[in-house]
Amino acid sequence: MSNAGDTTIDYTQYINDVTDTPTSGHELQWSNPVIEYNNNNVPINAHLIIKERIPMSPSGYTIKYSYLRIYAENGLFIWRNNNNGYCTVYARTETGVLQYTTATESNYYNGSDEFTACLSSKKEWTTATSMTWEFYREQYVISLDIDAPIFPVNNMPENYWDTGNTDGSIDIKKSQLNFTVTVQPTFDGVITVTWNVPDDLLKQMQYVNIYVSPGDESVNKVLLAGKINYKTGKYLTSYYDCSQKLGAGYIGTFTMFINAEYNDASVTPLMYARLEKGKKPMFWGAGELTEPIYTDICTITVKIAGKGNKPDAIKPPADNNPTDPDAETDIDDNKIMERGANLATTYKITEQQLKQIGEKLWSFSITDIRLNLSSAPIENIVSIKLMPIAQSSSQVSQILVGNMDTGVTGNIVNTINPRVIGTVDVPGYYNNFLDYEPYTQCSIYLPFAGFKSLQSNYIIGHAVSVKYTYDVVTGSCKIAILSDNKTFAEFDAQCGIDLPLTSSNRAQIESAQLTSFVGAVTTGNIMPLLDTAIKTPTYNSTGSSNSTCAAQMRLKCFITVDRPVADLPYSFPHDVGVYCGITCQIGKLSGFTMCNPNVDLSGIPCLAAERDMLLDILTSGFYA
Amino acid sequence: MQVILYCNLSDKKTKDKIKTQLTQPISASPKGDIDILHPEILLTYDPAYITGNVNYCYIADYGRYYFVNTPTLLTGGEMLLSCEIDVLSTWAQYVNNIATLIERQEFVNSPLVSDKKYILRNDRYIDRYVIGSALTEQGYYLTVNGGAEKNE
Repeated sequence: MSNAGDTTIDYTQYINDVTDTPTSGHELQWSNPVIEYNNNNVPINAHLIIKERIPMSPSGYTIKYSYLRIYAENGLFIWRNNNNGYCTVYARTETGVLQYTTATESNYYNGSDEFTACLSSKKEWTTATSMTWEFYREQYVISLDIDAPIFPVNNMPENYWDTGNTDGSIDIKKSQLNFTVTVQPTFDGVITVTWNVPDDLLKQMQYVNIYVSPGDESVNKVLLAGKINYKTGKYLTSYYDCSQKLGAGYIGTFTMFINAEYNDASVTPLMYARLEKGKKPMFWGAGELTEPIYTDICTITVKIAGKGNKPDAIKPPADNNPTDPDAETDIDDNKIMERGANLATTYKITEQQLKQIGEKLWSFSITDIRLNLSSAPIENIVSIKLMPIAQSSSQVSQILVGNMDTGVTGNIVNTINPRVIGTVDVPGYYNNFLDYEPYTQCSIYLPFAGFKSLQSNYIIGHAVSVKYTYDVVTGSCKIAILSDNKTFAEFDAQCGIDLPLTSSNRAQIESAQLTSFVGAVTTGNIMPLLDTAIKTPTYNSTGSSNSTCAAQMRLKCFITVDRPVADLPYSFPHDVGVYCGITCQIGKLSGFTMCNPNVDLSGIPCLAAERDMLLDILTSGFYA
Repeated sequence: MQVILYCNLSDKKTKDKIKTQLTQPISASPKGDIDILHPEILLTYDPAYITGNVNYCYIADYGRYYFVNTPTLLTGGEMLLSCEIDVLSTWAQYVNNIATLIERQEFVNSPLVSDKKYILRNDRYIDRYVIGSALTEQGYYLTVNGGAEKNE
C-alpha cells in the first residue's frame, strides 16, 4: 500500500517548503501516502508528498515537492467541502494562513465526495503543519478531535488561531456519544450497532450512517449500508446483509464505518469495526479507543467539544498564595508601640545592682528623708519586675530615681519585647480527615497562661510557632500562636514577678515611717526607725500572685495532639469502600464502587425492572 | 435458543466476571412461559456441566447473562436450569459509560472528607510536641519616672 519510491520519511527538512506562501496560480497535488503500520497491520501514521506546481515565466511549470507529516494530535479543525468533490485544506503556518486547493483528480482520494479535512490548532503550530488522519485500506478517514472547536464549511478559524476566539464554531454542547457494536459470539450472526444519544445532542444530531467496505483490499468500495434516524438508537445487520450490499456472493472481511450527521456539520468517523467470519472483530475508533482491540463487543465514547453551559464543578479554595514571597508573615513583625521616652525609663539591671539601689534608697539620713518627704525617691519607681526575658542594650546610663542619683548604672531597654519561643512541625498521622476536628483535638500549654484549645486545622500539617511579647513595665505578655508564620490565636498572661520595692501601700509605709520618725524624735531614739526603714519594710506585692505561681510551674511550651485510634481492617476498602465524592466514569474504576442514589441510568435500553435492579446494585455497592 | 454455559468464579456484584466457558453455543428450550428475568430452560444433560460447575450462562436470544441458581437433572436425560438475570454484566458496557457521583470506592477516595463508616476505637493517642521554653533567661527591670541621663 505504500507509495512506490517514497522511502524517505524524514519530512522535517521539507517543512519549510510547505510553509512557503504560494502565489496565484500555484497548484498542489497530493500523492499517495507512505503509511506506517503497527504489529497488527493497522496503519498508524502516514506521510504525504505534496506536489506544488508553480507557474514559470513566461510559461511552463516547475514542480516542487514537499512532505507533509500527518499524525494524531490534540486540537484539530474539521470541516468538509462537498463542492463537486473539491477539497480545500487550510494550513496554519508560522507566517500566516495558507490555502491549498486540490482536486479529486489527485490520486490521494478515491473519488467520493465525502471528505473531511482536519487541521491542527494554534498550539500545534510550532514547526509544522499537522493533520490527523487514520487509514484503512487507503480510505483516508480523519480523526475527530475531542477538544477543539468545530468550524463549518468555508468558515476560516483565523480568529481562533490568532486569539483563541471560537466565534463561528458550531455550538455543540460537550457531550458523549456512545456507540456499541455487538457481534454475536458465533461470529456469523447478527451484528448489532447501538448508540446512546444524550439529550443535549438530540436537537443537532439527525442521522447515524453505517458504511460497509469489503475487506478485499483490491476492491475499492465504500457503501452506505444504512442511514438511520438517531432516535432509533439501534441498527441491525448481519454478515449476510453486508455481503449482499457489497455484491452478490461476496464473502470475506468487511469494514464498517460509523459516523453521525449533524444539522450543520458532519463529524467523521466515530468508530470502525473490521469484521470477518470466524474471527473476533477488530474495533478501533476516533474516540477514547485509540488502539485496535479484538473483542465481541466494543463501546467507543466520542466526546464532542463545543460551547457548553454546564456549570463548572465547585472546587475547594486554594491556599492564599502560600508561595508568595511578599505574603504577610507575623513572626518577624516586631513593630512595637513604645511609651514616651521622657516620661519613664526602663533599665535592665542585675540582681546586685538592684541590691545597691535598695541600699541607696534606704540609706538617706533622717534629714534627707524629711527634706525629701514630699518627693521621696521611692515614689518615682514605677515598677520593678523580674521577667523571663533578658534584653541586651548598649545604652548605659546612671539610674536616677526622682532627683536622686543612685550611683548605679543600668542598660536602658525597650519596655515591649517580642520573643519567639520556638517553632515545631506537627505532622498529620493518618493524613486524612481523622487528623482534623472533631476527631483530633489540639491544645497548647503556654507558660503563664496554661492550657488553651486550638483548632486542629491550624496545627496539623503546619509549622506552629509561639511568640511572646513582654511588657516589662506591667509584667504582662501577649502570646501569639502562629501557623506557618500567620497568627491565628492570641492570649494574654501575667508573667512578671513584682519585686517589693514599689507598692500600693507606699502611703502606709511612709505613714509608718513618719510615725516612727515622730516617735523617735520624741523619745530621742532613732535607731529603731532606721532599722525598720532599712530592714523590715512591710510591702504588699502590687503584681498578681499568678505570675509568681506560674513561674513555679512548667515553663516549657508544648502542643498536645489528641488523636483518635482508627482500627481499619485491611479489607475495609474492598468490602465497604472509602468515601469518594468524585464524579467519575464507572468504566475507569476498579474494585468496590458505590454510586450516588441519584445515578442517572438513562440511555440503557433495558427493561424497567432491570433498571431498578441496576439502580439497587449500583447504589448498594458492586465490584467495577 | 442458543445458550453458552459458564462456570462463574466472581461474586454476583462483580461487573466483569471471571468465568470459564464450558460449552460452545448449545441448543436449549424454554420451559413454559418465559420470564425474561428468571427464565427456566431445558437442555440435554451432559455430565460435564455438573463437573464443570455450571452456574452461569448466556442466552443469545435474549442477549443477557444469567446466574444459574438451580440446575435440576430431569428424567429422560434433560437438565433444567433455573436462571436469574445478571443485569450488571448484561448491561456492563452501558454501565461503564455512566459518569456519575461515586459515593464510595476502593481505590479512589477523598481523604479529607469525613467518612462515617471508619471504625474508631474508644481510646486515644496523645502526642506531645515541645515548642520551646518560655524561660531560658531572666532579667530585672526597673522603670522609673522621667528620662534617663545618657552616660555611655
